[in-house]
Amino acid sequence: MANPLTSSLARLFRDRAKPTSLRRLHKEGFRTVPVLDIAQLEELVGHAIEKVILESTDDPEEGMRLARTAQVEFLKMLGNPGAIDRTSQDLRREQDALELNLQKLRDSLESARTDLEHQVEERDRAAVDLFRSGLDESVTEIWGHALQTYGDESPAVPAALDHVRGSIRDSVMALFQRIISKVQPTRSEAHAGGRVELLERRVNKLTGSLDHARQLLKRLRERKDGEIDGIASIYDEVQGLSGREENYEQRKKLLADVFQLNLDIRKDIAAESKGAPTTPNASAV
Amino acid sequence: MSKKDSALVEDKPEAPVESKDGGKVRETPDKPEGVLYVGIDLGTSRTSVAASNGVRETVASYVGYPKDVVSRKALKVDKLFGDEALEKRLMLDLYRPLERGVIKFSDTDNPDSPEAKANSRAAADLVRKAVALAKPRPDELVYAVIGCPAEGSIKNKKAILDAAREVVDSAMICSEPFAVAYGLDLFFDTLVIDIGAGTTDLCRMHGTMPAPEDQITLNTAGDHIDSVMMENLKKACPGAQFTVHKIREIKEKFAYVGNQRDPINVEFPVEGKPTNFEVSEVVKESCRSIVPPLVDALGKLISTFDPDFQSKLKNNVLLGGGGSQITGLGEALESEMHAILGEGKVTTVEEPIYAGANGALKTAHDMPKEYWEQLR
Repeated sequence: MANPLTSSLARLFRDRAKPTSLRRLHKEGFRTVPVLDIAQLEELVGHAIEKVILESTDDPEEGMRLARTAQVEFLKMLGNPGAIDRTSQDLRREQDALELNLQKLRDSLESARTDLEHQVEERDRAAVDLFRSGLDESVTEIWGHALQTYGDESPAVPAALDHVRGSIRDSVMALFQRIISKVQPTRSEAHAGGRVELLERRVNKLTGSLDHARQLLKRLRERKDGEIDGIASIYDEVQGLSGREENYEQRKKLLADVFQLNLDIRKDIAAESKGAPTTPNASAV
Repeated sequence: MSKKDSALVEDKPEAPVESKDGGKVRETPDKPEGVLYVGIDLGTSRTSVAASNGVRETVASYVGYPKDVVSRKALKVDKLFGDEALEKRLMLDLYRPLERGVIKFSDTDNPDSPEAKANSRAAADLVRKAVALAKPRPDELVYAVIGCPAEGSIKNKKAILDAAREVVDSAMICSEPFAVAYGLDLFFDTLVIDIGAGTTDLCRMHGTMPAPEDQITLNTAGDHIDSVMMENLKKACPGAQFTVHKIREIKEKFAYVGNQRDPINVEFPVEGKPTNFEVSEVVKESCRSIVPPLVDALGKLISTFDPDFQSKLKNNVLLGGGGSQITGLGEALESEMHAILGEGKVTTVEEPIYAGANGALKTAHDMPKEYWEQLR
């Protein structure tokens, strides 16, 4: 199983690493430093995660889900906003694509179900029509024969036979409809039914993937404030020279000059847009 | 400075208290919001950022946008920065928006040309990226000082400010060498050399804001070394194929001047076959090409300074910027200064990549509240 962690680890380590100079290390008394290649780190973490996942489940799909969850947690631990944002974007795109596919599948499923219902209705209607016409024909023939045989015995016989004929016809039709509802589907109906079942399974699977993508996004959103909102400044208020610094007056003057030159630039920008001459000093900042 | 403007500078509200040395000082003003100060060194080659939340980051000054829908789909992002952009350049419209320290085409008469607009957009995205690298909290005010070349034009400074103002609450710019000097508290009789990729800025610090005559900007910087190395390699490695990116890679790994060091073996394709070349002399000579113009410019700044302080200035040269990482450059400059100017002492900054950003951060931190608010 490919571990999705491995593709981004090297970049993450590089992003998180703080560069320092050899000169500084030397100054701090370091003579030798242990060096672990970033590719080795990547390999170690990737293998560790993969091993744990494979041991914890026999289901590769479930393993992949666990790996992705581990990736999200790993990103959070690294606190790399760029990588987290990229992953969030990827997940959102994946979620959008899954939702789109799911909608299409649901539409297909609905359409397949309707087709199947139509097929069954059509089949039932055709069978009932055929049975009804056959029944009518048979009953007419039997009643014709009965009338010929018993019609002369009493004037009430034809009316009684007509009354019984209607009841028998209705009962037989009801019995037929009960039987037909238990008839095995035809080949085309079985095919349509199989398609519906397949689509239902695909919908279930996609719904599972979508739920997982949503859970991962939720997990990413549940980062601590510091991770989601950046790193707080050490200052709660505007600083400015406190006056306790050495060379306070010089600093104050230099900063006033920097400010003034910036102000001149703003004025020049404004003047430029009106076609007025610019301040020569502004270029010194 | 007009009277009104002077008033803006000098009549700011202050509550004087006694400092430890007895001088009148101003109390730190109160303000409820959190404030993130950001110092940005917007360089031709690298953009570095230092912030008051402890973040220090650097990114190569490249911005790339997917060339087409297919690239966009493959990359899954709308823009890439730094080395990542460089690695995937075949799928990108790649911009290095700064050239010789200024935004490309910002100085032309046609700022509305497609090239100017594209580079301005890339520069704005680069500044946005630099601020994002500082990881600001959404509820904090972001005050940024951006270091830019000493001799940048007004048009270019406007372009940088325009880019910054979209993403920060208030922005100021200052000259890069000034930022380096301010960050290291070197205000008096110091000569700062800031060797970037596009320009080398020299600045004479004498306790006041450097005037135009205190600053010289040279084009003999990192990109110049690349060009020289390209020509030298063409001669030294016949048939070899290489790009400017490969040359930069070699320079960043092996750049040196001075005494012979270990052989530098690199591999270039020759008619499709990887071939090994030893290029130590080429690297050395190419890197050395910036030394004479640098010492010449130092001579100009020194010779026009107060004669009583010229010696002090010569012996207080501060070397910073990415170019200061060239092994042996400080010694080579000293040696050339001895030969041309009679004496010289060069100190290399400890953190060349961050010296400008650190100085800009310190400038931002020390800047009074009223100034920030007027430039919002």
